[in-house]
Amino acid sequence: MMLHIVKKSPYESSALNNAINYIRQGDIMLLTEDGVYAAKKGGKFSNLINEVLQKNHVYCLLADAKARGILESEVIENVKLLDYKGFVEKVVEHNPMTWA
Amino acid sequence: MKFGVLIKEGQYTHQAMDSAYNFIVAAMELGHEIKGVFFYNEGVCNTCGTMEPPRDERNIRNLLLGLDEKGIRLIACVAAGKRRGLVAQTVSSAAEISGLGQLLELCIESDRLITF
Amino acid sequence: MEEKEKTSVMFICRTAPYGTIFEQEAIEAMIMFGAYEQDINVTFIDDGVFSLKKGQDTALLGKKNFSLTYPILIDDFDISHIYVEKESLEERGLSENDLITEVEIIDRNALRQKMNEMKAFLPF
Repeated sequence: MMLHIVKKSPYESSALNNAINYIRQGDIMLLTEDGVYAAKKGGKFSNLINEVLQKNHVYCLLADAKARGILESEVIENVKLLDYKGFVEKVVEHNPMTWA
Repeated sequence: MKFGVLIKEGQYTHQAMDSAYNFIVAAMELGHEIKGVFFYNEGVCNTCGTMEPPRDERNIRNLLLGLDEKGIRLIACVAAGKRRGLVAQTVSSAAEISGLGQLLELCIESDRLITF
Repeated sequence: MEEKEKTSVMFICRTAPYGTIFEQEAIEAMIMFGAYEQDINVTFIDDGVFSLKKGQDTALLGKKNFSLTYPILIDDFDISHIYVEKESLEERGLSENDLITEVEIIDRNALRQKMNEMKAFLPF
């Protein structure tokens, strides 16, 4: 099973779209760096994230969201915030592919 | 678990080195082993030994020295480095210069290869 | 000596040529990896498929034409597979006839399965 890491903003990169194209059942997605902007409620990509959430777990790196002023209350429901140790644990469980 | 780390982005235009550093520290705290960090593409610039950032700014050169002290192998790609002016005289004492074969070795020896 | 199982690695090339160095340095890695008798796979998706387009002429640019390398990669280096994603080609108005060399055209669904068999990914 794979961990799809999205680290560029969906507003400037096809990283999120690619991750979505290749995500399979049992795979998970992690939004990091500028990728965390995809986790913001009410943004253009929130519907897409909600679609992914129907079948897969989606995580967002806490440090990157906080740094960018994205508060926990502004993160799309069911997107779980992870600290770096949580990130490591997901990589232990899943094979990572980074979409930049 | 054994992790290999690949860093492909430079130290000032991108966040990759910071993300990788935080990941490595967390992985070690959890008792995992870092088999090595390979620097490729603009990522090789992270291993420059002569960087002098302002004192109140995070210092990649010191971060690398810290990783070296923890016994982590830091490998700058020779071809990517040469192209960008990185040679034995300019590379950080924390890093070694070696070939792309080392990246494949990391793929083979690690349980996971993670790219930043 | 017992024969060790090969490690499956996949290059995922998703950037167009010349605008960045990614294609050039990905090729350098492919050539090197080809020498180690492992299972090396190369996949072109997204803008990466432009790297395989016929008719590239870099003379005016003053750079090497990297598209000439792929046929050699297949013939002279031990790369297991070169895949190009069908959907990425179609989105960009390209078909098999537009490509410089014979590569395996694969649809997204099949590629997803292949990805699941890999041990490590190298994104470019």
